[in-house]
Amino acid sequence: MTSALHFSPNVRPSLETEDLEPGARELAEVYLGVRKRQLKGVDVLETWSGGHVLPTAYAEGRMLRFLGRVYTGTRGGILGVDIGASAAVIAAGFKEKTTLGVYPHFGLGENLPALLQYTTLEDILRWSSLDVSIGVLRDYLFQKSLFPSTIPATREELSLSQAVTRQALYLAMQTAKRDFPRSARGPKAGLLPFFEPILAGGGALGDAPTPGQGLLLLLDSIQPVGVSTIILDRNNLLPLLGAASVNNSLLPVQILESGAFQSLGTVVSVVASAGVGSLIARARLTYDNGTETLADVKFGNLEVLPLPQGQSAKLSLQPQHGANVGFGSGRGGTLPVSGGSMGVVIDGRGRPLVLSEDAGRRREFIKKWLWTVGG
Amino acid sequence: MALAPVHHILPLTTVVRERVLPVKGKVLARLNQKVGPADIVAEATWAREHIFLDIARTLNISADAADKLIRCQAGDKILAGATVAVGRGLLPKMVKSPREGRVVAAGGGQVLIESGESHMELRAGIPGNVVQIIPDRGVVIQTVGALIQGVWGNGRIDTGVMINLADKPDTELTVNRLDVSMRGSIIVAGLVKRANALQAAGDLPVRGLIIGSLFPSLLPIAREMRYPIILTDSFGMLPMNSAAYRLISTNAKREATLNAEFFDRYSGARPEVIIPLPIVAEPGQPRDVEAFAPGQTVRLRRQPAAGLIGTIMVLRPGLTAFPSGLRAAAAEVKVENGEQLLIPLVNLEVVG
Repeated sequence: MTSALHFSPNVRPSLETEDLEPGARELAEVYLGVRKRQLKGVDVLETWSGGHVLPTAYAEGRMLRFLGRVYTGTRGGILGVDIGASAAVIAAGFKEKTTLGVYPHFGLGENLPALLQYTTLEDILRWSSLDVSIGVLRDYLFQKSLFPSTIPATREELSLSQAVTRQALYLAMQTAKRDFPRSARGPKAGLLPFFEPILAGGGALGDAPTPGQGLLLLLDSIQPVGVSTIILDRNNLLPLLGAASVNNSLLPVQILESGAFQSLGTVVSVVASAGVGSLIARARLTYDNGTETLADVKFGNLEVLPLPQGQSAKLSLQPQHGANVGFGSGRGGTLPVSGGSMGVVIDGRGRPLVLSEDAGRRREFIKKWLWTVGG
Repeated sequence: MALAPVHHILPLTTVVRERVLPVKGKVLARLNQKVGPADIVAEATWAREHIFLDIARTLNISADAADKLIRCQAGDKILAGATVAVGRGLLPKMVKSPREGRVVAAGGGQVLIESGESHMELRAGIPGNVVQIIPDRGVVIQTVGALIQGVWGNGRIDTGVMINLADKPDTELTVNRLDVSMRGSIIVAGLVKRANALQAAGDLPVRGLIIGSLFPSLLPIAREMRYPIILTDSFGMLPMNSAAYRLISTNAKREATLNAEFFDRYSGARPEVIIPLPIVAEPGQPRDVEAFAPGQTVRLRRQPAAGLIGTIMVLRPGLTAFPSGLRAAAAEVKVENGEQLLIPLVNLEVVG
């Protein structure tokens, strides 16, 4: 009978101080030790990297902590979400605290059937734009768990795959939210705090057929509030940079500024309660050349204002009927925005996003939203 | 060059399997020993729980002061109720061990005790010869025969004579197909849709079950069965793939070993059926990874043709767009019914 013991400094050296980092570092070492026994070649990689191999989630957490410092001054924090075959990872950086949650039970690979311990098949299917039976979804979940690396080739399979991703990421976000500091509050009870920017990665998000589908998937599952720039880490660079920063602290900054990340654009998520089709905000996008695009945002709709990557503009927002566009209830304002592959997207579907109980009507709405973001 | 996972369905091959403990333990098998699948080749024990005693906080003193009062040290065996530390004063507070165990660490005003024992026995899993001993961890076993890998197993191991009840690859196993003459045998069927078929097989009892697919709702029952169950293809209503069906059918009435171990993506362990066969010359070992190439036999792993066996006709250059909108490297595959389908390479595995 033997136990391997690993020591790390106290995570709470005093009642007022909490420092999880040394414990997390020690756990990362233990995790690596386990993987070294399971996977041939990890020890070789470790030699090549001078002993700086880190678990993906841990490295991503490091990067988010670093970015949290870079973006200090924002009202809320920065958010990193990653969902792939092995786990959903939610990292949030606030001024006073960084939280990192790794949720293998919300992974989209071999653990997929375990998702049903946290949700129902009906709740997953509510995200599907196609009329698919419960039995087909059940078979999909179990079959996908056997072959996690496979991709959906048909429209029906893609619809199922994205519905599962939405529900898994939604649940991971709801779980992660419980660890956010009390000071990071949303505009309404139960909503997320403001996040700027939001970095998203992982196979399920990066491999969406169109940027619009990837963006809609994020908006549905994360349900951000206020103004957020959405950045897609298509090449899974965040954890790599987190690991590389141990040796070279400049490298992450250089890569971040190199355009290696894809900006999906700026999203304004309006917090409002109104009847479907009621006007909740007016938006005016003024481009650098002086031209303008106007939009009336109606409850239940998405509005897309084109603003290509690399361009900037000024966005004026005037909420109606007490809606909150990120400046406070009923308060309007103007802010500079930068472009992305989806431009500026105003999400007028309300927070929390409530889907219609009527299955047919719900699917029509989902199809309409998909069409709005480019299909 | 796209690398392809290989799913082994082979009429004759050399099977070499590493069987290792997850923690350090004792290897019981000897080099060159002949082992059966149920033979225990290594064993290990480890603590079931850890008990943390914060002496300094309990006695309300500093860690340094507590260290002087701790009456045990790392490595000591300790009985339930034994005194771990005694405070000072006229009526000193005492800290006792709540359970019997061993002191793992003592210091910093704290004591950590490990208690209870979990025991693990590692079985050979396949019949064969021990060709290598891995000190403190396990063994490498080699055998020769037919090999059919599965996609899911319920963790059990057993050996028996195969009886084929699958007239076709999609023949359902029903209660009325089972009778007492099948006791102690390994049953082969296309699929299982009803729980009573699994239970009836257990009541006989059978020594194992090889099926193409299983209804997902039956998974909890399949896990509880005391005989090994191996799925060759998937969950749902897929028939057994033609390559596995042909090989198993032609070897019916032979003795087979079912190692229905759980799939482990790190070690590459999969559930598998091994049918030991007499040989003149030792065949080569199969490769676990190959490069995709025209002419290869492949199995389709996802819809629209999940479970079908086909042949790669053409590897498409670059990326191909699919009805889902995704773009991926692809191959044109001629499936058994003569149809030619366009399939993403990641949805294929080479059979061989």
